[in-house]
Amino acid sequence: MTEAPVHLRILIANERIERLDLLAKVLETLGHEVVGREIDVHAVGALTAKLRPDVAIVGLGDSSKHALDHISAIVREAFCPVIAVLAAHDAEWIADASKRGVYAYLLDERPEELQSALDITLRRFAEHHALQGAFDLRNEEAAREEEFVRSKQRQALELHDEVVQGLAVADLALKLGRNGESEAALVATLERARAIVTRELKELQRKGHPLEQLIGDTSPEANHG
Amino acid sequence: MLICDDIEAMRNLLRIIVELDPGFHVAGEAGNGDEAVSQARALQPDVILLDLSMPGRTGLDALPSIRAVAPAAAVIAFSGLDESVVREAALAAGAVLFLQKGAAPDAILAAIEGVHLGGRGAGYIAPAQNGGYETRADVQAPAPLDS
Repeated sequence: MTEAPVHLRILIANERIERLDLLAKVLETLGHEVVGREIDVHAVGALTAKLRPDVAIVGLGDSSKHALDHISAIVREAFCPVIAVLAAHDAEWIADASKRGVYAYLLDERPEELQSALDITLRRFAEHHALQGAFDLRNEEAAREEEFVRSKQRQALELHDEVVQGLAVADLALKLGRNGESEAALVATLERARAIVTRELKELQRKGHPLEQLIGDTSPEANHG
Repeated sequence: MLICDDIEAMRNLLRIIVELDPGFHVAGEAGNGDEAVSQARALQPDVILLDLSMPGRTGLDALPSIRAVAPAAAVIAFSGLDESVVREAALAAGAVLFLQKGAAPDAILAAIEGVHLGGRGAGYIAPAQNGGYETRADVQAPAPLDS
């Protein structure tokens, strides 16, 4: 099965300036867009916050604790996933980086393998990103559904309080022969019902539903046909 | 009797109906659930006509408290909501009868007299399909609370 191509907006930073060009070339070969380059790792946070890339690939000249603090700050403060590129393998550093939310790491000890390593890592990242997007979408849909149910609940109770209760008064007054009170309750209820319907129609119009369609939907054929 | 309904016009009409029977008098009125509880405690009425959906604390929410502070009172749940929606909840909360708004004055009065004369658990009265009113006797009243 052929995987669909992914296109990511990527910010790259590397303290080893000679590696920046190589990294950019490899990424562009893979079909990604390099939206920013930086040689000062300490400036990456601000640049990331400004450019909002999909992912930042940060190469380090060393694997110090200081570098780790900085890279995890990018993850936390710029809300951007970071892939670290290390000059050499450092198991302790990698374990710590993992705990701090660094998405992945690459070793650029062997430049000839950089392209395939980047390709795999970025594809996994894109899949993860898409999955996260699907979760977010589902959560948004659930929230919208919940709000819809709440609004229906409010409408039903409002109709009960404003219309059914008013009609009940009118009905009871009529049965007691108190026609004046019955008529007054009917008129007041009619006004309240009209106000509710008008408000709902205006709300629907504000959301882009044309008036002609709304009026058409209120016909008996639309509701029962 | 205690009449609880948030709509003043409804309370007035219910008062007229209740006072058609010289054996009853309206001792007090309440416009929300909290007032219903405090009036029930203070007045210890024989019968309480309780609207279930009042603003603030609803009648349905206040019902167990009303039963606790006035255990001798028979509570008639009175609602504009359909009995299929709220009857069971009202009876479970301590009402002895569910009466749907729309009932005729004589049916309301008969319900009040019925529960007062020991007809607890008589069922509920709701508008029938033919426009009249039917009384059903398939609902057991909850046991009185121990005071």
